[in-house]
Amino acid sequence: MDEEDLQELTSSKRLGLTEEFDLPKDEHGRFQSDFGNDTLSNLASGLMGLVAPAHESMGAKLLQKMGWRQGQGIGPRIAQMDIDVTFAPADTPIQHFNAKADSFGLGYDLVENVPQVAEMRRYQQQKRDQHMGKAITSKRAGFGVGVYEDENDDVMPYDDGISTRDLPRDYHHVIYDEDHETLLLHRQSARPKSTYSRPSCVTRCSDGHLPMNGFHISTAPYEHGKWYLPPDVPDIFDEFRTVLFATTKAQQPRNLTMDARGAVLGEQSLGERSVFDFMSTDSKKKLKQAAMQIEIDSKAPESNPLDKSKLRTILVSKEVAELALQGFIPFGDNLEKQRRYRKYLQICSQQNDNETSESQTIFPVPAGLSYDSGMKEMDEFIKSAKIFRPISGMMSSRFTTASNDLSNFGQSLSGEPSGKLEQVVFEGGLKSGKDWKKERDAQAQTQQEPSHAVCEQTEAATMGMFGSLTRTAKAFYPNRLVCKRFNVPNPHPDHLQEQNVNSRTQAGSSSILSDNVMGALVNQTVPNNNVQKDAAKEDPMMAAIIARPSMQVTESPTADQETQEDSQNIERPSLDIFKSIFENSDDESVDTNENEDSSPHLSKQCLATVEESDDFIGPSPPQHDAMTTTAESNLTDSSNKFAVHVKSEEFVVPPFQSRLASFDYHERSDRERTRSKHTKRKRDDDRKPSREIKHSKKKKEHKKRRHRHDSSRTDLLDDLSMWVEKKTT
Amino acid sequence: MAYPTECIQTLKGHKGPVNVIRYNVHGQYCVSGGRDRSVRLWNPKTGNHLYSYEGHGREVLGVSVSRDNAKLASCSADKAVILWDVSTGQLQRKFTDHWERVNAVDFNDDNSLLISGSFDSTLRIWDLRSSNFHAIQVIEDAKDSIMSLQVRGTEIICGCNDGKLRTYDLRAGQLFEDQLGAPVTSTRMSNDTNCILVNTLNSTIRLMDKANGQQLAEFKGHKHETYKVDSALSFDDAQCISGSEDGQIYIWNVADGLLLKTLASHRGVISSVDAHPTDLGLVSGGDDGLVRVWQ
Repeated sequence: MDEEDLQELTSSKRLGLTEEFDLPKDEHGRFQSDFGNDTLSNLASGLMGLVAPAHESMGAKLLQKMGWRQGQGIGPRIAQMDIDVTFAPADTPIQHFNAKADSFGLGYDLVENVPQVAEMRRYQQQKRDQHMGKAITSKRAGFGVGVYEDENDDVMPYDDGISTRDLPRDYHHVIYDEDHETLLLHRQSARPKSTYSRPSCVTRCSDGHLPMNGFHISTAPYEHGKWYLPPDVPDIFDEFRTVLFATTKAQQPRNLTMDARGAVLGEQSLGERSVFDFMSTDSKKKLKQAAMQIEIDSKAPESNPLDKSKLRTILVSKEVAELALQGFIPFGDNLEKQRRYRKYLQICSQQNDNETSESQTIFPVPAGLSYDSGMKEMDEFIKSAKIFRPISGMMSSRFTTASNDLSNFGQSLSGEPSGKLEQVVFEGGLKSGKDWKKERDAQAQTQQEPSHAVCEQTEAATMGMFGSLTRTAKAFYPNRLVCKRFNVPNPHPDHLQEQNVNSRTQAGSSSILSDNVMGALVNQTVPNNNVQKDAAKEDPMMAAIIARPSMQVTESPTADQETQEDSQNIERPSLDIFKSIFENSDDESVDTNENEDSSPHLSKQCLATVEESDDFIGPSPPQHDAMTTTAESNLTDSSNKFAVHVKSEEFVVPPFQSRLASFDYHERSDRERTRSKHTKRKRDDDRKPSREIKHSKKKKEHKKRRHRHDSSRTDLLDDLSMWVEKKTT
Repeated sequence: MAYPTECIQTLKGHKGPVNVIRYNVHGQYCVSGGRDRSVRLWNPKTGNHLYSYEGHGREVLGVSVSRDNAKLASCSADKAVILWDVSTGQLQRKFTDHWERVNAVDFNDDNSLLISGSFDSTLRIWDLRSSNFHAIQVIEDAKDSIMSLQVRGTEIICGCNDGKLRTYDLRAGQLFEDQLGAPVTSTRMSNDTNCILVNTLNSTIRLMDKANGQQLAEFKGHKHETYKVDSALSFDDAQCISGSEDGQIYIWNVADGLLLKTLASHRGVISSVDAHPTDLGLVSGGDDGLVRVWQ
């Protein structure tokens, strides 16, 4: 027997909590244990109550950490009415509930009403105690009482003193029962058989088994209930299904439409329905048109072989035609063709807006041409009309016609040999210096008036005649928010502000030569005043056409703005930016480029980049307001006189003059000096010379750069002209 | 005809030339900005140096005090305009939109806008009520560096190196440009807002009529050909006071244009002067780093 067996033997041990986790000592006294109010537990708790345990229970430790003390209750502190001190709640005793195992009434106390019960319980307790007492004492006395002790001779050494009778019946002391010669492992065998005895002659069930315990075969018959017979199955009955009669009726419903089915069923019809009811009128119209178009198209090829004597083409739009009429008229080598082209353009320009664009007009096949070549010719006309437009002055001034093409220009509308128009055969190249000088002088004269104004101003200023002479008034458009902050109503409520306030404004824009801008420049048509007038004189038909100054097809986002400004400035002579840029450095006298007219901010952009790219720290030329009443641009003559302040003006304008180190060094340096005056305060005297030197270098580089750029533009036009050439031949 | 004659205080503190000196609206304090990148607040009467605002990266070229004395604006060669809180000395806003050094700055009467003029020839208007870090409007009429600026009521005057004095009238939505012939370095409106006092680089000070651009008076005698020099009108518009490059303060009588007095005040250029707004008084700042208060 080892420890485990012993423990089992001494089964008086009961399961409980260790001291650590158990209730505190005082609780034991109150705790009515299930195990009975036996003396030992009472004794133990009583004893324990006297001696404080070495270990506190875990629960107590936890509570103490939270501020509890032995004897206090758990819960929120109680505040007395009159005193400011709060008290811990009183400790509540543990309620121990005894499960009701009897069926007496509530509150019925057996001991009270039946006094004998108490006696009996006492007696039973005694008996139990005897045995338990013996067992425990023997246990306590130690296992294996020696034979030397005379306490109880009857006690067998391996007997714990408890008779087998009192032990649970399942407990076996021996495994092998010698008397019965059976293993006592099965409990069942240990258990006596049930006392229930059957009668010897018992009726068995129908299958031969004995009935279960507690049952016997009844003698009375069993009423099963009414039994119904299954139906009669005919002889021909077969488990497999076959269709004997093929009905056509089953097929009919497949061919029925919804409406027909409805009719068969006897429903009311929904009426006529059409998918077109669900479309909007616009889409219906479009469908109709498309259908018509398809019909026309399908018919057209059919008609073509029928009618090869007529040419069917589309007309170009009115605006394009008008522009084309102003522009270069090609086909100079074929006068007839040219005539037909012009006629075509005239017809196009005279078309009404009422006619739809899809309408095709019929032209007679030209004499001497087949139908195919006639159609080809019409195509050429359409394409030429789209290409040849009068180009803006600055572009036109770049080109002059070759001498052998002078005859062509007899046909052109402008009629001037120096040509403001684009040429097809690119032989003319750049203008010769003389030609161009002449032209420029002519232009310069027209521009003298605005320049005078500025000179006057400065003259007046020097003379001290301040007042109306020196004063210019312009419109100023304060921001909406600015007006608000100043508590002033917006003086120009209709003026739309540009949105790019934060970004570098156009004056400082580096994208001047971007695609948009260049596109605008190229496509712009700002015919010279002279040209227009002459043209009107020469050709009465032209006079009938009202030339719009700024027709172009640019994709520039600021196109609208440009057109606005252009239209406003149409009276002014055109600004030749490129002319000014590529102006010969020999020519100092004329400075015609202060006019910010036809493309004011564009020109400023151009100049601005010129400024910018020069790396010169200077104010970028600002955007002039289109509403300038006086053009205060030109300071040519005054440049020499008023060295100091004017240099800043000149800077804005054609960079060339003032920038050349060789010529205008002294003038430049004056301006430099004014600028660097403020830097002088830093007393960095060494800055000045280095800056100036840097500039002269930069200028030359810039000059080169610009030339290169120009050549790229001419390449583009080259391509165009080449393309046109191919087509005509 | 009283004019300041005596230097009652010398305010020392700047380590380098003083570029600008300005009184506040009532004349109790003056603010100076100098080459040492600091903006200093002084009490001119007692001579106390009250605060030094550090934050600029380069020399301070212009200062202005708001009309409620709560804010201070300064502009600098580092292209920034900074708005300071006067009492705490905290930097409240820094506007860096300008492309070049900012020469002048001013508040509007409501203290809701700052207007600054710069070497990049733009005038930028900054909104102080919103937290917008960009200018709400950029005025690009000038063709050269804007040297000086003043905002009064609904008008902005600025002087530019292209020789023009520009007056922006916000109410009328008009800009008046007056050609003066020489770069304009300083512009001040008279206290009755009818006239503008301009300093031009040909050693001339002119008093221009704001309405029609005519010259009302001309003052000469000082030296002003190279550096930026301020001029101011006394509180009663009776005297014109100007600094000079020869270190003397010149005081003219406005009525007849005669030179009243020259006060030897600084060694070097007197870059900035300001007249007391309500009383007889004058404050000047010069290249020697001193600020002198005159009475």
